[in-house]
Amino acid sequence: MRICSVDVGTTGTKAIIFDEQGRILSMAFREYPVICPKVGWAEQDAGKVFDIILELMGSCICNAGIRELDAVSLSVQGDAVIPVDEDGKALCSAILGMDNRSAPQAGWCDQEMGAYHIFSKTGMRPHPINSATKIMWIQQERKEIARQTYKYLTYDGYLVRRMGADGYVTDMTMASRSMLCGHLSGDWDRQMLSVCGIDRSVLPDIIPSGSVAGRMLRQTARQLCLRNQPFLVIGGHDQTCAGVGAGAVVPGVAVDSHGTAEVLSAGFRIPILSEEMCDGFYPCYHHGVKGQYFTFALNHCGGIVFRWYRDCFSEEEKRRAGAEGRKAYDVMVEEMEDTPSGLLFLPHLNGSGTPYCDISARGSILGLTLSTTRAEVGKALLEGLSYEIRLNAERFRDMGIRADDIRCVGGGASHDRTVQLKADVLGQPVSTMKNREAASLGAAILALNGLGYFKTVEEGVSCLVKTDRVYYPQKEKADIYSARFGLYRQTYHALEPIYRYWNKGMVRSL
Amino acid sequence: MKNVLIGIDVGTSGTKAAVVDTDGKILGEALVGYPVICLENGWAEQDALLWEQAVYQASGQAVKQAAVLAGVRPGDVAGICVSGLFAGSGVPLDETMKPLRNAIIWMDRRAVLQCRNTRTLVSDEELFSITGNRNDAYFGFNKILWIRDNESDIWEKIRWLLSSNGYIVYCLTGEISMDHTAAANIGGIYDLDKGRWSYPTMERLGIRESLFPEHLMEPQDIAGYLTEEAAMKMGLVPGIPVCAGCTDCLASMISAGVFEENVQTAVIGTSINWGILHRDFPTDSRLVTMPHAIAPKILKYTYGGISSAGVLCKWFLEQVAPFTRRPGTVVETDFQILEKEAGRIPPGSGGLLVLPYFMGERSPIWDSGARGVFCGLSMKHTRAHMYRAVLEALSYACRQIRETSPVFALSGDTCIVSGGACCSGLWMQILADVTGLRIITTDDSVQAPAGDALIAGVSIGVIPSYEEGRKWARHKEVYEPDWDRFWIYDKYYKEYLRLYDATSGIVHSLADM
Repeated sequence: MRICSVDVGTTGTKAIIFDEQGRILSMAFREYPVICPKVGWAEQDAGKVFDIILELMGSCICNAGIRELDAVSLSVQGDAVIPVDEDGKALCSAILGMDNRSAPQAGWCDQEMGAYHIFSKTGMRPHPINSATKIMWIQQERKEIARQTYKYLTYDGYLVRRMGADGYVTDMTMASRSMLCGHLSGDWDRQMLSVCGIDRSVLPDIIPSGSVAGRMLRQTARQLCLRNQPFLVIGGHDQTCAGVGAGAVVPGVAVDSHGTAEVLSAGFRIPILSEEMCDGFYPCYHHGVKGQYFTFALNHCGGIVFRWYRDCFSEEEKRRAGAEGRKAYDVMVEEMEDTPSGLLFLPHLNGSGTPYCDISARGSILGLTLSTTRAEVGKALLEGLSYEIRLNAERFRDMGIRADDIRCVGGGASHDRTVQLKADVLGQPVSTMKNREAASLGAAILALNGLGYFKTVEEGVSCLVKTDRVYYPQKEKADIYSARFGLYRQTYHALEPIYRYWNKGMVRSL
Repeated sequence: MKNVLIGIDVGTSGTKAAVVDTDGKILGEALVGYPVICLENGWAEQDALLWEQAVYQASGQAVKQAAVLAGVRPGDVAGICVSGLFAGSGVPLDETMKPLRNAIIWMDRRAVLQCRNTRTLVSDEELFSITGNRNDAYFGFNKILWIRDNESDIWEKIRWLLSSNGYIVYCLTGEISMDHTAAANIGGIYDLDKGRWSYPTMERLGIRESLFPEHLMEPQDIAGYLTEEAAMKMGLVPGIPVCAGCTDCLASMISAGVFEENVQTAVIGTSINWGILHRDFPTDSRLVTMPHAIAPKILKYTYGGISSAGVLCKWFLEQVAPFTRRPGTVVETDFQILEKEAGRIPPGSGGLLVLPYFMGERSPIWDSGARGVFCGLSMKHTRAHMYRAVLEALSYACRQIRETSPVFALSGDTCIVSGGACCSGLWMQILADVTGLRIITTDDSVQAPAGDALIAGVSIGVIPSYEEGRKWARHKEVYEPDWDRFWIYDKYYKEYLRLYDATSGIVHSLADM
């Protein structure tokens, strides 16, 4: 069987063709821009993303040398709202998940119903990241567009419709992230809809993750040099897809996905809707595996902070790497001493992620001396990113979510020394995966299950998901990091009033 | 030409000598460098024999240059004065006047245990009431006691402990001398009010009184006359009067024309001394006080010391943000490029705050465990923001000293700045805007040696008075404060104060781990 997984991220899309044994036949990637018309706003031309995806699929099919494809399976960025007309054409740019404009709407929901009440009902607390508040914003601030809107979609529903699906659908993982879906009923919640003033008719139907939404248009298939019309499958939210692709379908397995942002995610079998979950801004939504729930911790300042650091301060390493034909990242990591740095580097350069979600937080470095080197500051930054994960892993445990077996995927898993550092800082073993493209692999497994090749998702996982290497914490270093971790945690609270000062009046949000 | 003067300054990075005429014109100058010896983290020593060599070389070169450029002959030199670095252990000498070990210098922070011990012998209040200074590992007496506690064989052999300038005066004249400013800088054993040694405290602290010459000299007192041997090494004639000299920051101030009380002054180089001249006994133990080189029994110089200033800029440029130069002709230095970039950043550096305590800090927090902090970084920050934030932090540190100590209450709205930082227009404007003071910079090429020369001139009478020396002061630029910017900085300054309180506990624990 041939599955083309399309992983639609915020900054780029990756298309990969897998066979039924999880082998990669071909791969293509392309970046596209995020448009920021105002501070805190983030948009994207969904039509352009669709065009790029078609091109990527075309080149994947061509490079794999195949003429038939069983399915296209989508793994998509969360919570990007796209209002479409009756033909499925986007009426304006997609409002991306990271967009903050609907903060007033989120605040209003909070006042009207109480954050915890909404969370206990839907598994999501009011926040501008949610689709619901963005739809409210469009209805209140862009009345003309709202009047023309036939459906409010996210990338999954938008893309399958453009590729040929008849109706308007979204999958369970995406729907349950909207703040409009009852976590028990698994359907749009009438009370939430009426509070938010959203009509049921403008929302798509909800289908299970990994199920078939339709078939590709003959014309589109031909354009891609295909002889058949592949099934269109929605794998769902990229985080749940990555959960499947890294094997987080049994309790205890957690995924550390280190890319532009860094995410620690885990699944569980009974919904957890405690106040601690709500306070820590952890969502509780449906997993791609039937009957399981999913949550994640987000540090949106992940690899992007290291990139900032590289671009600001590592011209020399960049030049050297260029001359040697290597990546600057590798040169920078190699320059770092093996011993723990003497510094604390809080990496909240764009606000902190869970569990504080404080957009007024900033980055700080403590403990500098005249003998501090550039490489030591870089190492402290990597340590800080791992402390953030540890902070969240500990919260997970406190809330009853096990994270004993942490699996690293994404770009951050590509360097031995950074993965070892993560094991040392977390004080627990972490492993890397044979296939680091977890979201794409997860989407493929969900599609193979949806098409009946695997009887269950778990079966697909046990066949296709393999760990590569286990990194154990080195005791001496782990002890130092454990002791420092207490200080690290203290530091954010110590600096909070100072951060607050020059951001007075700004809301807490992601 | 008749009656030229030689000023010599033994500094931390090198010795500078200048040949100066009676109008303050520099006729020749030379600098000879030497290293700071760091055997362990936090230690800093220097070899007095290297100082001595550097003095001969630098003065020899300066005299030669003056001969070529101005036709000065060795016989024209009428007087010599030497200043030197301070607050160290001094040079421990044996019976034969040979140095027994390196001098422990002002930067050194090792005498922490000695500081703790001496506190139990003489209370902080009592010590301050006698010396006008606090008890800290920074001061020379604790460093002297470190030698006693750790190197007993050397301790037993010490016959004299001379200051850096005192040792050089001995080399030049064969006379043993100690001036008031150097004695006060040992801290702990100098009675500031009476202007003499405090023998009772010496006894209580366990320092032999015979280590120091009993008679203390004023900087302009003639300590002796150039010996034949020294004259040969310097290319001069024997018999030239040599003054007792003083500590180097005072010589710098004299060259900047600072002679009167309530004149506020800052020496900004590797570190910062933010100070003022006054008459009364000091009241704030967070500051350092020494007699002024002019009228040491009447005028006092009190200052707050900021440990790392220029050295921090250097660290930033070399360690954090080295430039990759593009090929082609470059006319600007790295500092100039960085300064230009930082000049385009608005005040406040985009909400970025720095604590400049990269080597711990002296005034006003006296915390050797303090460390550097960057707070408030965001993705839009560049190295230019960070550099500007460093300059702003150093200016906040000056404002903090000025505002927290009553001694500055009578100072005017002006500060005379000398030292290497004078060549940074950006830094000086930020300093003016943060403090709300008019900043007057001085020519930074020859400072302490020119002050030394003035002392020598007054001493031997070729210059009628220090008043005359006011003409020597070469003021360069005036930076007026901008009040809009002052109020912006004012907000950040309050957060700067909070930042230390918020982080000091964490930073101490971090260092102890």
